[in-house]
Amino acid sequence: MRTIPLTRHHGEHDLFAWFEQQRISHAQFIDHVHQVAAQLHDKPFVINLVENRYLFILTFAAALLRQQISLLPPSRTPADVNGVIQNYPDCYCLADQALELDTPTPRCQVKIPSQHLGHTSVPDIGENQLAAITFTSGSTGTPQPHTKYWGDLAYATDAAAQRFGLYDKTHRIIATVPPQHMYGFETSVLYPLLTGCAIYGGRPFYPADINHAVNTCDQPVLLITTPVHLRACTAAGLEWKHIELIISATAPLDRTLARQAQETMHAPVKEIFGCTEAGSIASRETLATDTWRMYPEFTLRQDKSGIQVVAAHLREPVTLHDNIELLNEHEFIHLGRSGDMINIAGKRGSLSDLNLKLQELEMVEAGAFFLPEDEGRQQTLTRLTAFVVAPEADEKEILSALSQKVDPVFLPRPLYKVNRLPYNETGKLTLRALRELHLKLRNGERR
Amino acid sequence: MSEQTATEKEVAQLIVEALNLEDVDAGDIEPEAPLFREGLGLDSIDALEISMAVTQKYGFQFRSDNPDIVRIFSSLRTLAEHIQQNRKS
Repeated sequence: MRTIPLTRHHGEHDLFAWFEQQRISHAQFIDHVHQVAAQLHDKPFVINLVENRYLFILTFAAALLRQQISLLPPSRTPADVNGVIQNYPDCYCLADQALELDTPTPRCQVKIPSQHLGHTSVPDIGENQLAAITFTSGSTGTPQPHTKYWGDLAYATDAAAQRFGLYDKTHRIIATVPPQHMYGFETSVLYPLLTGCAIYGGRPFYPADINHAVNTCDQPVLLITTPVHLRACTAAGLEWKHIELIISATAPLDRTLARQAQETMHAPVKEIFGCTEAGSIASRETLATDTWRMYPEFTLRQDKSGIQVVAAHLREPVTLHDNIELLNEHEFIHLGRSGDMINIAGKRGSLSDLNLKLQELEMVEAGAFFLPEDEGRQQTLTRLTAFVVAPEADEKEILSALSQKVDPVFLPRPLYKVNRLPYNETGKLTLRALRELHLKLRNGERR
Repeated sequence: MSEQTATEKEVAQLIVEALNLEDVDAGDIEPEAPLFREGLGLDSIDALEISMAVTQKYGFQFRSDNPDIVRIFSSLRTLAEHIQQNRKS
């Protein structure tokens, strides 16, 4: 069996993670992994909802050592977590925050070990070991699983490390995205494990948090973030130093914001293109070009079913749910998401899945989500709206019931109660009819 | 509902504008009602949007390692009090 070590490119005394005054060396991390592995429950699957980033990496690594498969739900909403549990009943949960579950699924409480027990061996993990399963919300309402093997994750991380020069310098990574999200998982869990970079153990959220984290660094910082956070950071009126490179993903970054970020934070801004199914596949320097360049050894090809990503580590080609103009097998231009798929603040969802969840509510007779066109309002994020027929319930009750089922970013804003939906003669709800209804309601001729 | 104070009125207006809440009248926001309905009414992106607007208008920053951060964002009243105590402009 071919194996790849849990960590690479670290010296024993190199910094692995830091948080406030705490410094964790690579040797300490390895010792922690062995200690935590001994505390895990004895089950094949573990749902990892841990928010503290160092603790997430530690528990993910400990699960690998125990040959347990980490399940990473699309969100922490009860519906998503319970949906995963239903399909993997022989699992337990790791969480450092309060959690609502429908089932008596066992929970495992793990803390960062305070003692040093002197474990030194860096575990070797089988290339073909199933390390994690990530999920996307499918159009059927059930989360769709995507398997991630250790060897494949290592291969993809190596491609990214080459692209961003992570082997050339020791970077300090600070990330604002959750470790359960594929982008956050790759950049803030796998980069630290496999490229020699050190990771900030917290999850900075407000601009002042990010600024504070950056100021605790003595080495060049790689900031892993999103357009939403970049907008907040550039507007915050703070002084930025030490940042070597900013990487943004989850939603397209417009050039104006990229330029502002580059000027305010004194670092080049690059973007990653990827999806949960294939992981990151391409990057670009936003201010230099619109063209996305595939990672080394990744290629694109067009066939009957659409545009597919091909790479040695992908067990089968992955079809992209995007409208893409192929320039050649290594370069493309992104024209937008296609059809059913929407993206709000970096969370990808399926309109038909959201409609299904809305229509399943007992108080709702009929309902449809609608994503208004971005009217160039740079200041605020475009949100979903929804039209709902529900004579017995008010907007608050509907929203409250819906919030149990869908991620908060997808909650309609506003939710319009209507007497009927604008079906056409054949009983179809066309985009055009929804657009007209939205215009009418928004302009005040409502209810 | 209890009356909105002058600061609460100002902050309610700022929330409605920052979040583009077309269907909410700032004067109707109940000062003591949860802003994040059961922790979910507004979401974390909204917290970031509100923080941006507050920073621009009142000249101070939010920090998530503030042990009071959850309480500060719990209602219009607590947010307005925090702004009143920390405003620099």
